[in-house]
Amino acid sequence: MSSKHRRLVLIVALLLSLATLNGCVTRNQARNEADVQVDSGEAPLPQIADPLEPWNRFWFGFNDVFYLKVAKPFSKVYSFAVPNYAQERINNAFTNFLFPARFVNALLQLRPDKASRELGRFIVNSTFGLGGLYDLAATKPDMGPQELDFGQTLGVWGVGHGFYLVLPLLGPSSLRDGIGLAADSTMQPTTFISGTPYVVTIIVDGAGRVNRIPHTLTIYEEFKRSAIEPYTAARDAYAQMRAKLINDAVRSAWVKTNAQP
Amino acid sequence: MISRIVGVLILVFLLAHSSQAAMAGQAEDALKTSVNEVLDILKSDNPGAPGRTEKLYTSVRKVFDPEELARRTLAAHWNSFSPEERTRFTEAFVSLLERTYLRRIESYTNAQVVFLNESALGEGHSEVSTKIVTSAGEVPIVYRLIRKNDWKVYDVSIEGVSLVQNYRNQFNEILAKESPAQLIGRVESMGSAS
Repeated sequence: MSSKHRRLVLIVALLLSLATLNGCVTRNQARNEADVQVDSGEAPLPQIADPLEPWNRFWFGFNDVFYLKVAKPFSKVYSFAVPNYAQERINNAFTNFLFPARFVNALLQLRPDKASRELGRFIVNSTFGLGGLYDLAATKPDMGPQELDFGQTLGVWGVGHGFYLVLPLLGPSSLRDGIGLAADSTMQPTTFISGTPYVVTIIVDGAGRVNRIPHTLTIYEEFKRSAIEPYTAARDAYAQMRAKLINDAVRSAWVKTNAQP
Repeated sequence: MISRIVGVLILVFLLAHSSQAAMAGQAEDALKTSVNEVLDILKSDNPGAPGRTEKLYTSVRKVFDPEELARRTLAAHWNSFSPEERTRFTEAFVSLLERTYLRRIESYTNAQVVFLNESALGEGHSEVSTKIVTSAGEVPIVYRLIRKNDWKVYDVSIEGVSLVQNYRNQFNEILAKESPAQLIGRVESMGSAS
């Protein structure tokens, strides 16, 4: 219990430091946007500060080698052993397993509609969908999967990225979203069902992530084919994707938060 | 007197409203024509059928404005490119895009395109939101169009990532260190690779 408390205090402290960081990043953004001329008929550009660029470039290069030298050969073997159909089942079950994080984040974003949709999906898929192997809920309109994570929740409440961060193996992230990732992972059911050894969480999480490798790799290879300066392309794509995710949530918000849409 | 003013106001409102509505439909219609052609080709010709790729190229090209796309990705750098460099760059960039994105389009089977809405982006610019629905899930795609003689696409956002902005950042970085000719060389070699 005390270790849980300490974790909470740590998260709160990090959040506070983030909030102060946000101020200086906004100033940085203003400068960046002035650099890039905005043409008529263009949306304002989401940018992300990258003070740790050399460090990030190192991990970007590391991940690149990992994806192509380890994940790719592995993916071939895995896709042979586990056919597409089974991969989809595993992915559905893993997504269903991560329900608590999405549910909690919907509540934290003050979105009872999204929370109840998640709850409905969880109940239908866990029972009639055989423990989440089949996403039966998604066959109904407006009952498809939703993207809800703690980094997004922080963004909805006005917390900026802080700075860009390339995580080993996991890829593009930011200070805010990295904290979000850690917070979301503590919401995996096996971490709060008492008596479950920690190793179970790692195995379930690992299996879920490994199962996604073939899919991730396809996207990564397509990305590499289209990018001329892959590091910059990935950083910008990440900033834009996250901005859309948060803007969509802010735009449809029930309660106004202090984030700019 | 008042009733006449009200009448005029209503008329003006109706006219303004209808002309805007008519304009708003135009961009979407232009896009729809091209998208439907692409979907028809994907349905009627099997992958690898002779001329399939060329047919797809032709349908997609109809609705894109390559120069507008190239100019916007280069932003302020466009002015420092000579006319020949602009032409070479536009060609190389378009062939890179065609190779990467048509590969994606070609892989879609049983794809459906749903047109969601259109919103004006100031004078002569419009944004059409769509989503591609495949068995694997939904991909939100937003097209930005500009009205010249026809409505032409100058930017595509896939999952919120604007193509123009993404390449602009890359080209900005390259042009900070390299000459336009070097950039064109890199784009050309990417476009012809794989």
